[in-house]
Amino acid sequence: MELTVNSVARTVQSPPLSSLLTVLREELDITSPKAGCESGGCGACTVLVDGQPRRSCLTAVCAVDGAEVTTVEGLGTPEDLSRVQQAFIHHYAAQCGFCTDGLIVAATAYVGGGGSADTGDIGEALAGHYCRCTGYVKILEAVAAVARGDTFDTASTASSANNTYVTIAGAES
Amino acid sequence: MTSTAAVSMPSSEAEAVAAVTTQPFATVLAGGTLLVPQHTLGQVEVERAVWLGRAEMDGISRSNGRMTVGAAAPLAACARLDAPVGPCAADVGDNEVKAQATIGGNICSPVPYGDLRGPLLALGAVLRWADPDGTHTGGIADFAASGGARPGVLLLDIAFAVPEAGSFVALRRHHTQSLTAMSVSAVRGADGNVAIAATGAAPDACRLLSAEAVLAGGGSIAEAADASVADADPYDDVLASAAYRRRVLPVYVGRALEQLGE
Repeated sequence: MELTVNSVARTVQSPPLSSLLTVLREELDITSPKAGCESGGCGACTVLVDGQPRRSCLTAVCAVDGAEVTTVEGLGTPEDLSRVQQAFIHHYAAQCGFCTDGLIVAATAYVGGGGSADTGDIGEALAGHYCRCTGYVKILEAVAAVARGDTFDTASTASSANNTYVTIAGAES
Repeated sequence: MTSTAAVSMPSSEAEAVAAVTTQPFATVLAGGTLLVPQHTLGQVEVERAVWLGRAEMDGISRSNGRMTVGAAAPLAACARLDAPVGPCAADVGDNEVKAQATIGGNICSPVPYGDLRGPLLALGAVLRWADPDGTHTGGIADFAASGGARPGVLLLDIAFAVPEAGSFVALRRHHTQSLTAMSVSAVRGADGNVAIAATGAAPDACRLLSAEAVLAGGGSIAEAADASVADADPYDDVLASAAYRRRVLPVYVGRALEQLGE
């Protein structure tokens, strides 16, 4: 099977019924999609498949043969973060970081599709993504800020005394 | 541990039927929302699978007052249909799950999944399925009596008459991954008769014939709701106790009928 993962063509050797999550993490060594519940209930493994958010733990890799798969590693680099990544840093929207990659991917699809800054709409779009640190308020603020078109000063955020998670939102696994 | 099961990818319904019903019988892979995690966790053995994603079995059409829904239609598309199917499909999982899960997969899934069996039972839906003996049609109960979903069987589509009115109410927490403990679907057909079905009131979806008879006899919503308990066979599971199910069933029947405008 042939996939394009974060703009790089990859040939997959895993069996066709392997989950996309397993292929990404164990064959392609892309570890931002997290193996949380592995039953579609937590959202930590969400990736974009042809631009649409999908639970990689529920997706057989044969079902995405020929597709474009994007993980958080493909959204930006530590030197050039995407706007959603910047917003998560600026608004302190990550705590332990386990849910962050799935949320950033899903939020990217939401704002990319013209989603509004209404927190009700955002909550509807991101329903099913669980933050076990219960940091939902900051997450909603971050996504709303992107939808509003806010600009983010991540340099000052990163240099603040209590910032400890730049590397998490910056696509480190 | 993932097995090395081969997966066929048919490009038409006919190819899918041939692939599923030929020895060794194949397991159907539709949205994958149940099969893939079960397979990943080693909870199900799959010798051979057939993926329906390219079989063009996901169409939804309306003709002469009847709706036909392909078995591979995603729940996100079914959620746009009128009640009771639409709101029931919308109630299953979150947006990402609904985009992937299919109506056929839902119908074929065991309790506590399979929420759509309730609305489709109320609608008197006709299922069309294929097995090694040919193509068959029948209701939800007929499909179950034939053996239901298993390797070698492929659900093809679901058809039902568009009702004059429909309603759906469910006992669950909104927008969580929690399963639906109970739901009640009601439809009023062109003849004015009301059909009611529930999930979570008995070990599988069931019609509430006693409640229907009360309405047909001119009884009130409250009388019909009270009568519904006679059709229930409540059970205990992690979602709710039998006693609780027995107690809330009339409440949800009443709400479904009020929503229907009875």
